[in-house]
Amino acid sequence: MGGPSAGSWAGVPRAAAQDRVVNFRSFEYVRLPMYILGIAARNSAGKCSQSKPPLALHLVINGSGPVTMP
Amino acid sequence: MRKIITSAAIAAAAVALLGGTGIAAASSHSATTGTENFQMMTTSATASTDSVIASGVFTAPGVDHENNNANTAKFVFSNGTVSLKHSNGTGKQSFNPKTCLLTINEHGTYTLTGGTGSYAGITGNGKYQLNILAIGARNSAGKCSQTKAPVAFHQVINASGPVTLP
Repeated sequence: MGGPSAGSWAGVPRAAAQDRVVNFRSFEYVRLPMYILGIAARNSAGKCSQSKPPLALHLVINGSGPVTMP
Repeated sequence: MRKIITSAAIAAAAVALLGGTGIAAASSHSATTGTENFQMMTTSATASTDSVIASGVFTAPGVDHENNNANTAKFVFSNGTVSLKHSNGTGKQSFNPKTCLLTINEHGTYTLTGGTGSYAGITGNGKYQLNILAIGARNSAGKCSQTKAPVAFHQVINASGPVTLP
């Protein structure tokens, strides 16, 4: 369930929320609602940078699905 | 246990709602009046500060510092602070004594009481929603502890309302 790291910030959609499909080892696909709120850093030109780590990042992922305990 | 964890959680929540350390300057002052959103997040039930992201009339990351005794808080941003006073939260709380799972969903109101720096003279108010999901620790007897800090703690507070910057 790893969220976007600083290195993948450029790939984070601008939308505050999105659905993310995660492939578990069982090859079952489980839909995980992922909520992201972040503030990007600015480059030397004062533009919002997509390569620098964000100044703040709040990430919440709620996962739910069936499990079997052996 | 429930009471203790709840108190710790609410305390942390209050801290989250009110505090803030300066990470970056406000990025936009295009509007002087509008809706401001504050989101506070922490995974610590005992920390006195947590992260806050402000967006709306102004956008800035900061640190939230809470004074639980006074129901007040201060967001500290890199270019100023915003102080507020909030109500006690009301809503649902549940605690499972077998699994030690604690869930709190509460809401309340807040009023901005002042600001410094770029936020000097700020006024506003709004409502907040507090959501906590935590797992209490167990004591040596295997029971959910009422004195130990939770072994896991997720807290998110979303606050929103109109603000005016002079």
